[in-house]
Amino acid sequence: MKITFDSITKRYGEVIANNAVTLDIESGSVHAIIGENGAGKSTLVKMLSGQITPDSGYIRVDDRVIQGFSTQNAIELGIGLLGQDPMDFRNLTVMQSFTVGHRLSSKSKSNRVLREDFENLNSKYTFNIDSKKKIHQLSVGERQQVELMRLLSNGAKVIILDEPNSGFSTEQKNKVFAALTELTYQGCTVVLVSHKLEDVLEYASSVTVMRKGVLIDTLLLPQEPSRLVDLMFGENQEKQITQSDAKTSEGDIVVNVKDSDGVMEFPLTKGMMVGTIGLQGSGVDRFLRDMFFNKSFSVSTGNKLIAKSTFGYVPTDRLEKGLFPELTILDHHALSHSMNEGVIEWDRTRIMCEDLIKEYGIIGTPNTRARELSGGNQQRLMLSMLRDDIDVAMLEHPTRGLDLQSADYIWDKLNKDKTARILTMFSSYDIDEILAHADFVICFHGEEIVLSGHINSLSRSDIVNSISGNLVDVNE
Amino acid sequence: MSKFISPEVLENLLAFSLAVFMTSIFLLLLGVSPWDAFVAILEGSILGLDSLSRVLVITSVMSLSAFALIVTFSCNMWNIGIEGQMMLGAIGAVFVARTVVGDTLFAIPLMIMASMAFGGGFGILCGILRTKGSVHEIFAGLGLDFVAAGLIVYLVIGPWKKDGIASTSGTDIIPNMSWFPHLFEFKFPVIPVLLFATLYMTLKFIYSRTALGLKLKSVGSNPAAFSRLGLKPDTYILMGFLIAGAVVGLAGAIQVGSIYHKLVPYISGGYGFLGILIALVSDKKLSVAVIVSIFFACLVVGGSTLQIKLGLHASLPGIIQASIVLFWLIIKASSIHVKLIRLLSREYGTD
Repeated sequence: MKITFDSITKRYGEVIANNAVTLDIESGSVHAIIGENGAGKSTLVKMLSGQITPDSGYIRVDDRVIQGFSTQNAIELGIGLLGQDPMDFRNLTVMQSFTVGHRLSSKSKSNRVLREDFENLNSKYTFNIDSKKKIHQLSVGERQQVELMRLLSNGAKVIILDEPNSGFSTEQKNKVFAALTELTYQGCTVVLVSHKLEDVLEYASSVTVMRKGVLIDTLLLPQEPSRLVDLMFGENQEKQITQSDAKTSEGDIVVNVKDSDGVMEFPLTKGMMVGTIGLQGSGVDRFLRDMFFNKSFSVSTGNKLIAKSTFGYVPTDRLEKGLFPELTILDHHALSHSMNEGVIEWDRTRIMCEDLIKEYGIIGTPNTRARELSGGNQQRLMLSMLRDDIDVAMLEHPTRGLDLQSADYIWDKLNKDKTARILTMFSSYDIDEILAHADFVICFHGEEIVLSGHINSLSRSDIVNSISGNLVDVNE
Repeated sequence: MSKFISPEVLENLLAFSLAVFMTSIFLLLLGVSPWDAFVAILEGSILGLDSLSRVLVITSVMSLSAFALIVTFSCNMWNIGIEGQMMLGAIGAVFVARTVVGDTLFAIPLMIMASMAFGGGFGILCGILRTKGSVHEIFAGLGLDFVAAGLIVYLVIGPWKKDGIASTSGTDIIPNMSWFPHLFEFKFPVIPVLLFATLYMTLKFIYSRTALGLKLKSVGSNPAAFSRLGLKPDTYILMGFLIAGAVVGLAGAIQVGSIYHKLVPYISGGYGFLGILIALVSDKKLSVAVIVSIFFACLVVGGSTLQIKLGLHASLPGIIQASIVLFWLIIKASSIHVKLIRLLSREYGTD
């Protein structure tokens, strides 16, 4: 299906999210829309999927002008959205979640047919998802796969991916894009919203660059990455990898992990940045959470246990586990930074809040509610809630949803802060991120830790092999 | 205009006026003059010296219930146990009044403290069932309401029965010193008004200024995010129930000290459940809840005048009350009033 945006304009108060955007997306293409946070990418595709209505301009799908923007309407036109966070029902089983959103569930398709549909798609694309599991038992990436199958079964001809790959492992990403590429041969159109250049270069056939609500250019791929970066940021901003020097230690830090097999210890040094990596769905998804909440996971220095009250934890699920959707940015900062005061000094807190907003580049005011922020800004808010005085920081996918520039900024800051902390631990599915920032690496395959060691003692292929299961028993 | 009245209050006043208008149409359909009806209600409530005192007492009781519910709502808890907590507050007050201090100057302060302790204790019981026993607070609260009602009947016909006769009409009247005093010619109910004004200011302070208020609000918004900050959700849910129980316990004390002067079955009079309605209609805002309470109190007190003066059926005040609430909720849900405000004054448009 061919999609045409014709001088689309959308304002949010003072902010012009889309300024007269005109764009053609050809049928059968994988078209990427890139831009930094707040460029207006999500706004554009949200209109296509009927979630919001443009202030002016119109959208055509195969020369049919979209009349009345509603998700219902979009579904009938065959437009399906795979969002940044999966839109499913946590307490249902995979099969129920697959069925409940199905527009044909009560009509022509019986449950048996739907089940067959699910199994066909599941095996065709080798997603291998157990239909009897509950949604909340799945990883974010697996939930996205279920969502994709639901959209396809629902007859979607246009698939919009709004930065869904932040939850995908490499393996899953390849499977998903293999499926999508196959669909484009049948005339489906894929719209990929992303700020990950490598994904765009690898999977997309054409790309539109947006900056501050304005369409900068539309290009056929391949292109030089530096050209796209220039277009995205309007200046030459090469990504710089900041590999820090490994520090020599004063105190010895020991991370203890107790599981059914016994105790595992990792000898570390103060101020280290520990990267944990694994495929989506492996133990890496739960490790930092367990470090924070579970009593049998501990960090000690000398013989002294470090109190969990001095830990800071940034989870992956922003609105579900990290933030208070109805509270303002100011409330969040008051909670994280002033929670031990009886009476909150609001004047001082507000100044601190404004500083943090500036420092982390959050697009919003102290009175903006968390649910009104874009995904990237929610991520910044979570990071800005980390207090300076915490001893151990646990960060799940710290730069998830951030554009290059902001990710670099966050890493600079984390690398600066880590020396003041006893330990900083983060998780990632991205091996380059691990290689760029970790001093010490812990690798997961399945539920097990299969490899660990100082970054200098491991090669890239060691890590790749271990997380993909080719290197089990290397430690023994 | 907007400088003196907060948008919230203005919106609610407008929603209320629209609701009155719709109710008037309804009354016309019933063959009743809306003008006569509303005038009778006003004369029978805030325009009459005697009735004004009653309006104030009932406003206090309703406001305190609504405050209590706003606290638990802020933790995202449905405190259906509110009636039971009010009853326990009443039991606490009567308990003090029946002891030796009941006829001394210490009676009233002690009654107030006991009602808060009893109500708060009962509230916490509901919270414990919820947090430790995994019983949903609606079922726990409903069950505890029956327990409290049963406890009162037991006390009234059992240990606290009148001399010689056990009757469900209540216990003996409590000593004079335990009665909440009225001041001035129009019997100003000083204690209830003081209680609800103090609680209003205290809660306002807690929610706008303190970390406790922020924590109560955030634990309801997202318990998972709450525990991520190293805070224990259960502690603050219990705290919410404790505060709610203590606040509505005071309403129970007012029922004893200002109205019944004894313990009677169902002493909460349904004001607890009405408090749920008030809290919802007022969007869980303390100041709006006070205004709504005043209005409801006028309806309750003025309703009897309506019946006598216009010779209308006894159910009519109830019908007026219910239809106003219904229309109010419909108007707020459809936000007609907000659209009207935007039409009327452009400076509200950007909000």
